[in-house]
This record gives sequence, structure tokens and C-alpha cells, in this order.
Amino acid sequence: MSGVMVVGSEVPNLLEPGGASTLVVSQDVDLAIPLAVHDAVKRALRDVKGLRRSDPEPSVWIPESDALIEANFLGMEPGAPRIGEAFVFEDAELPLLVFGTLGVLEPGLRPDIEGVVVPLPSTASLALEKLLTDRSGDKYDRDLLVVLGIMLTWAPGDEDALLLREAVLDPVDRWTLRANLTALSLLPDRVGMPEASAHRARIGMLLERLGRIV
Amino acid sequence: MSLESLHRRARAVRSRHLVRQREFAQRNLAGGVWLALRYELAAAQAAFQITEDVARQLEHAGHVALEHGLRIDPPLHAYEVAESELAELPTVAQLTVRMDPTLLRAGYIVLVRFPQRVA
Repeated sequence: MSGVMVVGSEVPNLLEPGGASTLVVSQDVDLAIPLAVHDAVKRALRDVKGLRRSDPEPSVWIPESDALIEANFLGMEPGAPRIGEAFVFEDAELPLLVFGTLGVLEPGLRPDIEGVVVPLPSTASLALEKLLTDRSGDKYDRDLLVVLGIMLTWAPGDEDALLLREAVLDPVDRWTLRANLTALSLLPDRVGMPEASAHRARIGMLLERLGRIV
Repeated sequence: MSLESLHRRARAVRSRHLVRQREFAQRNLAGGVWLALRYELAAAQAAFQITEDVARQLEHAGHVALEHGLRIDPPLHAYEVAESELAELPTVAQLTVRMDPTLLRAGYIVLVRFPQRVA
């Protein structure tokens, strides 16, 4: 469906050759839904078997068996980033929390995983989104480690693409991105995630290329 | 179906962004010290605790304690040294490079930079 993308912690896995899934242990699948195709997604969901909407978290669909994992639907407005903004797109069937920062995402690769074409954002834009998103606690740490997972899959030119996108942001957002990278550099290692301690030099080099905001 | 959980999360996102904007505005004031210290640590490949006497020797040799460490309480006297200098330097213990109590309360430390340091 046009513009729908997988945007969560599973992306580094999907970018590995053959979707090897060695980088990050994902707890759910995050799907970014452009508001323009919300109706079409809603219709398609009526045919999905094995998932049902969660009552307490109505934008989350939970599995009815252990063979599936949770699907988390997020609203986005492509090409119109409003960093740090969020609002609720109300709908009786598929309400969405719309994250303004998701607007930075651009379409990227579409790997074929066992016959299923999976639309992904460009890795530069996804790293940018995760480095601009303020979260707290465990989710914050996990998202930063997902950035590292993305960096580990970067092709030549991806880091340059991030720097180009970063250079035109507001100073507060550029500062936020750096603050989050420094936090990533100092994170303790955790099971099922890339080891920040093993890649601190690489993170340091990216910080150096970015320079400081004074 | 209640949408309250979604509205609550939306408010939390906006609230965190407001806090971030405030932190940015104060980045060169007291609150900015923590990020400045994180920058210094992110640029360091290793950290070692040293004694006050060794710190004095470093200062006699021209090293200057990093400003941001001196702005916290208790002060952290942190000196940048080259990897080649480290071999000659008596250290107390190697520290994990992290913003944790062990490092922040170490009193006197040396930081060894990655070859390409953060600007």
C-alpha cells in the first residue's frame, strides 16, 4: 500500500542479507501509515487473520497466537515533518497516534523476505527519526540501540545522507540529535541488541563529523 | 474503545519536546554541564582513575582539567592524555566510560581520546 512502511526495531534485521535477524530482538512491528491511505489500510485490516485490536491501546493489534507478534500502527504525514509534535487521528476502527517526527522518513529499500516485499524507509531517514525522537526509559535505550543497528547496515553514502538531512534542521533538533548520539555511546550493553561498547569509536567519528552546536 | 491512552501519549510526546527546547535554551548554563560532560566521555576510548598527586604532576606538565568536570559537585578533575602518555602514568583503576557514579565520583581521572576526537 502506497507509503506504508515498517519503521521499528526490526528494520536493521530486515536489512541484513536474507533478513538474517541477528541485530535486534524485536518485541513488535511498527507500521507507519500515511494519513492519506488510512482508509485503505483500515479496509485491508478487515481481512487480516490472527490479530485483533487491543482495547486499552486501540492503535495496537495483538496476536491471538504465539506465532505472531504485535502490530503497532503509527500515523505519519510524509514530507511534512513536525518534529516533537503528536496528535491523535480519531477513528472508530483504526485510531492513530500521529508522530510529527515520522514526517522525516523517506522510502528506501523494499527487501523480499521469503516472498513478502517489505517497504522500509531509507536508513538515513530512519536513523534521523530515531535520533530526533524523545522517549524515556527502556524505550529510549532500545531506540538508540536500533540506531546503532541501522548504522551497522549502512552502505557507503548513507552516513553522508544523514549529515545532509541533519544540516538543514533547526538548531534545537540538531542539538537533540547530538545529545542522543552521546547517550548511545555511553549505553551499557544489553542482551538481544547491538553492543554500543563495541562501536563507540564509530559513534565518536559520527559525532566528530557532525560537529558541535554551541 | 477509549482514545485516552493515545491522547495521553500525544501529550507526553509534546511535553518531552518542550522540555528538550528548554534544555537547549539552557545548554550553556548549569544544566548544560551534563551534556558537555557526555560529549567529553563519548570522545574518550578509555578512562582511568588517578590520584590527586598524579593530577598535580599532570598540571605541572601543562595539562588542564576539563572545565565541565569542575562545574559539578563534587568536582571531577578530568585530564586528556595521549595514549602514548598513559604508559608512563600511574593509574589507580580503569573505569568504564559511562556517566555513572563510579566515574563521576572518581575525583581525578584521565581520558584517552579516540584517534579522531569529537570537535
